[in-house]
Amino acid sequence: MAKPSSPSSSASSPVAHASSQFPVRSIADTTSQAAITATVSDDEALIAIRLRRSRRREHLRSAAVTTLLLVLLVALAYVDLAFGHELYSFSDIVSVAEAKLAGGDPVPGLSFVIAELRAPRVAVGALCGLAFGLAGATFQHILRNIMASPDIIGITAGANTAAAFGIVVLGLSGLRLSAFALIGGLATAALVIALAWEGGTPSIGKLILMGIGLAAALNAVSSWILIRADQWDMQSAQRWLTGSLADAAWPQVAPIAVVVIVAGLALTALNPHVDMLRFGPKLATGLGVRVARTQIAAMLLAVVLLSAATATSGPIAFVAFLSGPIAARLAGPGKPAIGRAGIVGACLVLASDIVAQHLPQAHVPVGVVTSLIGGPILVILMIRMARGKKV
Amino acid sequence: MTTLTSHDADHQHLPHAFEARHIALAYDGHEVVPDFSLTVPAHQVGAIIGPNGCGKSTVLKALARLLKPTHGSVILDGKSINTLPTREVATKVGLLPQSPTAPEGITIADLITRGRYPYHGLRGGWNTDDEQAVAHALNATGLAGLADRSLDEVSGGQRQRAWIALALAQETDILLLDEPTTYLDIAYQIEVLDLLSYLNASEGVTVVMVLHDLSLAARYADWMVAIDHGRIAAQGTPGEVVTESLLHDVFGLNASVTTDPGTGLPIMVPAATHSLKAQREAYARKAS
Repeated sequence: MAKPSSPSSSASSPVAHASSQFPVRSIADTTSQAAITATVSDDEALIAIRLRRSRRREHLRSAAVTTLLLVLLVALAYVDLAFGHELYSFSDIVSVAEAKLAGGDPVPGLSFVIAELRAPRVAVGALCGLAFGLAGATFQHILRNIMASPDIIGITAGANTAAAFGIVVLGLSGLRLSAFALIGGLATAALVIALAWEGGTPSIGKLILMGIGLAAALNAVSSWILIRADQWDMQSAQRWLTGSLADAAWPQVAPIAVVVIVAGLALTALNPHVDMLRFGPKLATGLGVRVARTQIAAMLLAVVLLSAATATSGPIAFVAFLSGPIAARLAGPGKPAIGRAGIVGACLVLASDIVAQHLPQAHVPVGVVTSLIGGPILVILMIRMARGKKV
Repeated sequence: MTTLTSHDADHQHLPHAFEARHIALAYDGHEVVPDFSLTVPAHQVGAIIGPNGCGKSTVLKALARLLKPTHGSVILDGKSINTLPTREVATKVGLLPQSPTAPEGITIADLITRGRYPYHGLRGGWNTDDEQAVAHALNATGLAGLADRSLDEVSGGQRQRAWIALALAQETDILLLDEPTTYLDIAYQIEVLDLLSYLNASEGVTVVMVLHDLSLAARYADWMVAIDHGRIAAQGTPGEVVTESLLHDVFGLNASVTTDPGTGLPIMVPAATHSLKAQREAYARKAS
């Protein structure tokens, strides 16, 4: 019935298969209509079963990866809470949490360090990491290039410069500061896209080069603002240069949490459409994706996330850039990975914070550690790109 | 023997009234096509030909709603495709752009899955229809054995068949292809065109493709349209379109057209002056 086709079927047959494990109809086998009909149905049922199996395998794998990442995030959060100058036990942390949540008396000697210093630091770090990871991967997906991450193409620098100006010159804080950073981020995104405009769409190569140039100029501006500031001190300056969690406090947590939840959910809803953009605007349009609308909506959400995180922790270097590729590696080749990039971003920030606090000699801001990881990786990717490989 | 319920009947494609009505096309205000009309006959294979920059890909873009006409409209079953919901159009008209790109490392099965996008809501619920459509696309293109292979590691012909399988999983009745044979060597070009002919014969898919190679276009098309400077220079059967006068007027090429004894279709052979020997002789005459 089902005839295995000859492996050497030549190109003159439209159905020339290299190594079919399944008997697939060959056009040459036109013995009788009935035989063909039966063969095709049987084959397709078999193929469908095999597709279902591999789909199930992939779902399991992807659920396992997400679960492991979440476990890692919780573990890192715990380590960041418990290991400092002094080591706290699990029961210490639970009793402090009980006191804080139930509104009871603070635990002497523990509550201040754990609940007021470390917990907000962990919360801000995780939320900002999520925001950077989601925003970076969204840009990388839409523009179909790892280098098109917002921290490379100047959008983070735009939000950061606006935030530094907002704090130093205008004395803003909280949601107002985030909104001001957002304006800076959006304006920079619009400027980079306009500069890279070429025949109806932004050219990705131009966008990356323009963005790198603009980022350098904006970083100079923010340095100048910091140097001119009266309240100049190393700690706050470092926050705006590389990103730091040193100033994290509870009042910062609520605004960034709201932004991450709302924008994160919206991005998740957009994900099936954003995924199609990875196949290029023409194919996506042919498949019924409203390309321009999807691009604009996803980029707006990404800039909102990025600006809110930058206004909170400063531009923690390279987290947006690194999270997408790491998540893509974990998710498997060709799979969409924006959501997981968010979790990876949070893990990166917390892990870097743990390292930053335990470096001998001095405490360094978290951004210094992420720079130490991200810089070399950027160089490696640049070299690969220059050699004409896909990155 | 299994029962004789024709399986291919599940995949028979419906005829649609599909036409471009006096469309004008422009890029950034620069007009490329002033006034173009074309009725696409259902269940037939058509080829759009013309020299580089003549506007043939632009016309295909308009048919695929990638480019909105400045005047006139492309009509699908009585309605303009620019006003119909784009996903509804995507269930009837499929497009394979020239040299499409995919994320690195994606498997062939995963790529083909994307053809089901138009049938899904905001959160895609995968069902047996989707599964069958993908299985059929894999089977019809002979890619079942390569389903789990990465698109990056298969041959050029197999890769192009995978892209056609994606369009097939989309289950559209009309398939538009922009130079589906570009960058393929001659055996793969024939392989791709054979596959499209097979899909047309077995399932009644209506095919419209932009092609460079005139002799191949004549071999694989029911009808042809030659475009020159955004205007239709000739239209009809391959025998009516591929003529010596058209080659001279549209392509600026002195060539003779003969009939292929095997197919009875026209084949184009450039004039004897376009050869190494003739050019050498011409040079020798000039030098002496």
